[in-house]
Amino acid sequence: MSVDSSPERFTDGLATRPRRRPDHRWLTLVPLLAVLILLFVVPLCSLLVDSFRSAQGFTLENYREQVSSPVFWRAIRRTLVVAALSTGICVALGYGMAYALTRMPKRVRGVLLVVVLVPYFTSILIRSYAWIAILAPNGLVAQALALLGVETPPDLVFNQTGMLIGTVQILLPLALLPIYSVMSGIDRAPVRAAQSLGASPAVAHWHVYRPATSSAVMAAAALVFISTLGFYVTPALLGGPGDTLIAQSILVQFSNLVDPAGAAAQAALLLLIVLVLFAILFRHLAPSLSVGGTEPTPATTTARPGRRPPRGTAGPTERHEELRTLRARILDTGLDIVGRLRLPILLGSWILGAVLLVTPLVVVAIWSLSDATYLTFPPEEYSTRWFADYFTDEAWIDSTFLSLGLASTAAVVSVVIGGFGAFGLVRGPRRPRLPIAILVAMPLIVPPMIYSLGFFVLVAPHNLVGTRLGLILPYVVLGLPFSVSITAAALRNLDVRLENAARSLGAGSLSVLRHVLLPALRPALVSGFVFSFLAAFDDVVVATFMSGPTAVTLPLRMFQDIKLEVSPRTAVVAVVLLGAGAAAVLLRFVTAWLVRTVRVALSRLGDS
Amino acid sequence: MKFSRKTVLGTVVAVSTLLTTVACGSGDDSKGTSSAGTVVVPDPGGDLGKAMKKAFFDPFEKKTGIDVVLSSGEFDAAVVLTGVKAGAPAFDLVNINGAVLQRFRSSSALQPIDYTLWKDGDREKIAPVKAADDAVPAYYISVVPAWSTDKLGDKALNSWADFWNVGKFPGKRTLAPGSWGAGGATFEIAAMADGVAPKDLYPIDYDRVFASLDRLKPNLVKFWETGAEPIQLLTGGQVTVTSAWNGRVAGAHDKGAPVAGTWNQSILQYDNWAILKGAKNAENAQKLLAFMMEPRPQADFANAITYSPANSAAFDLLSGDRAALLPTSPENVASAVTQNYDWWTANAAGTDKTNEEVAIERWQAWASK
Repeated sequence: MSVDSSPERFTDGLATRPRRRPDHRWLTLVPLLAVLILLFVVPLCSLLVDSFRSAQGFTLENYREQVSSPVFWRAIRRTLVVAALSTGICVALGYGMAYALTRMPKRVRGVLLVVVLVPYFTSILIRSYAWIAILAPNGLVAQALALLGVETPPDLVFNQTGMLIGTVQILLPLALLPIYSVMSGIDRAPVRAAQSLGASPAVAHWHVYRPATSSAVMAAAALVFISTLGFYVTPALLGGPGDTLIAQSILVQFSNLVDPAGAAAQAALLLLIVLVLFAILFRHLAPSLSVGGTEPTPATTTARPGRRPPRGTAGPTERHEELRTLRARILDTGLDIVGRLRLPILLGSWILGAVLLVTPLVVVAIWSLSDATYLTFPPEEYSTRWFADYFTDEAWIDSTFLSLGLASTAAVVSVVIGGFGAFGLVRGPRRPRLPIAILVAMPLIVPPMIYSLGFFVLVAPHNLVGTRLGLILPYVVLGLPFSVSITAAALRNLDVRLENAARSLGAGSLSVLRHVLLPALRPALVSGFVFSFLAAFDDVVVATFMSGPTAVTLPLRMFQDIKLEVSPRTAVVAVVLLGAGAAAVLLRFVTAWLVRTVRVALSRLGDS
Repeated sequence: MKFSRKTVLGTVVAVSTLLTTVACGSGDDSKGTSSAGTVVVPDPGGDLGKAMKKAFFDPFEKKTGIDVVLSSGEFDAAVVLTGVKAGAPAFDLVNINGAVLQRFRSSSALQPIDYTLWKDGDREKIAPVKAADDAVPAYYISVVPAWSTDKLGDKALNSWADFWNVGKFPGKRTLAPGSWGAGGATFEIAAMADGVAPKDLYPIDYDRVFASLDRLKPNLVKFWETGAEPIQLLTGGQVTVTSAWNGRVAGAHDKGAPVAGTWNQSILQYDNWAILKGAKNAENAQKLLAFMMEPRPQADFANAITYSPANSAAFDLLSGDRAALLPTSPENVASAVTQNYDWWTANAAGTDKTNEEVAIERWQAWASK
């Protein structure tokens, strides 16, 4: 096994053991790889094989047809533009919001994090309808603008703007939480040191703080970008007549043309394009962004990776030098401005973010109390009849509990497997790191439609359709990219010397896990759990294939319900879930308080 | 110390969740297995689902004791076909659009209907489209022009040309996406709006269709994706005029929504009942089908939703007023166009693709511009 990093070699020298035991840390990768290969690669490959098969045997016809089709390339181009734009917005907004969060008192943080997570409990479909009510020419925004005297409001929906707003609302938490989970673990002392040495706050932030967050920013950007590629509900509802994204195009190929091979070919091409794109981006960004996979955080306080010239340039020519000074000057001016405006920027990011996240939910909450059969905003009459409708319908209640059970089971499994996997990925051998990282990201990149199809075809003959297991297995796979990438980002920022120190003091692997890793990684594990849970709890596509008649999940029921008959019932489900979530949070606080009181009482009892 | 306690708590929560899941599981399995068995049918939802439940499924359960399981699972032809190929169809009895039926036939995904279970004479009464060996017309529905009476007041559209006439009927428009092929009838609509006579509709003149759609495009906000969406867009005020299924318009109107439609140039479509190959409850599906096609349930269905019964004998049991609201009533059908599924499912000249596939591809190329 390769030796991991320089700090480790250093502690090795200090260790009293004459010979180092073989490094078995790669073993933690085994469950992750087993799950991904068995439950993801195999189903996908069986589908890919189909895309090369024809009546006569091997064929490239499916690929030739897609590559030569302008429709395909237009959809790809449009998708990449939308994905890049929403990634930019989400990451910028998420960074500001996450940073602001770390500077707030702990109690406020909890409340604000709830604000961030709350939208997840609402079906994507009804959120999209809410955006229509808000953004349409006769909607809330237009009415507000009319009050301000603006007569012709801008076109905000049924075009790319509407699509972007809807997408950003859905993906913003995905950018914010990974960044926050890393930021909350960063020691602020070096920043204060830099400031005490005369650096302005923004400069200190840029050169000292930001490098430590870059791995999280990359992870967040990749998560958002990749997730956008699979979107089809939001663009379909909020986009205009011609705004077809690649996921819709794949769906048409599959559903309307009943051409699974063609759909698989499109998905494979999309995958290839994304991988090439990432390879290029990483090559360009790596020198300026990477903190070096295992380099511990404090080391970055002295390095200034942002200033290193790109690799592969043949010596600093004069022009290069000029460019560099220019860049530095621009950066300094920029930092100066940002530094002066840091309060408005942070506050603004929260106001904008909170408005984006919460407004559709307010609309949904009001809808839940509507008496109408349709979603008119504002409702003409109010009643609780849709609540009664929900609570008296056994099918809806069954679905609710089914989904809660499935999602939490899948998330627990995915966090355990993903947590160990992340450890093996970051602390294990260096060489297989990139291929494994790509493999882990795959369930996100591959459109869920394609993966579900492959999985379904593989397991359908084995009576797994319509069973809990048949749904949990793919949900574990869908949760892994989140649990692994978020945990790995946090682990990369965790000084490996802590573990080595513990080991050198005689701690076994279990003790290291329990006393060093788990406490330090808790925020990351929790957000990994939350995302894995939500990936399963929000899923419609896998359920479409795997639910059968017997295990209809809540999102699928909501999806079909609102698809077939747009009514306030879905709004009621959202409100009920929000209420349950709020109750759970409250319960946690109450139990924590109880435990504390009891412990204090007990210790007093012991003292006396 | 502090952490271990939390770990314990976490484990307890995880284990209890697992237990609940398992417990719920065993609970579910024990119920729903009555002695007479079950039959699984896709739930079409909305008013159509309610009408079927009231007219077909509830009386059938009462009569036979067989449970009709309405599955809210996705009813997507491709998904269903994949299930049949894998030997595990998700449903027993399905209703399939006239053009999509051909795909099920060519993948030999259907099994023959057992007409020996039918009451005498019922098969002969299936009209105007005849009952086939592997499929029976289920009901007739129409795609009609519909509009918001809030926005247009007393002005009423009379044709698809009026749909295109933004000067006379101002406001935004929406149509079904042509990527559905025959499904939303958008190709026929665009051709008729351009003045193509109903008898000259087929073969579809694509150049003329897309030129016609290009003219509408500035006023077309989007394409609707589900049967419920056009009504939502009308009542939400985002569009003024839309194409929609007549039952949706009538249902919304009955619930007090300010919407109206016209039968003029309505496009008549029909769905089929068929039993999937490999269906686990095929026998019960045959019984249910035989029951549904009897005149009484057929009439009850047409009383619950404004879709026409497939058994013409049902008209004898319907009031004249009710019959007048159905797509195939003599006055309504006089101005209607029947969608030509034979053309849609036939191979396009000089290709190995059906006309529907060619139409979808042409649509994708146009829509993505």
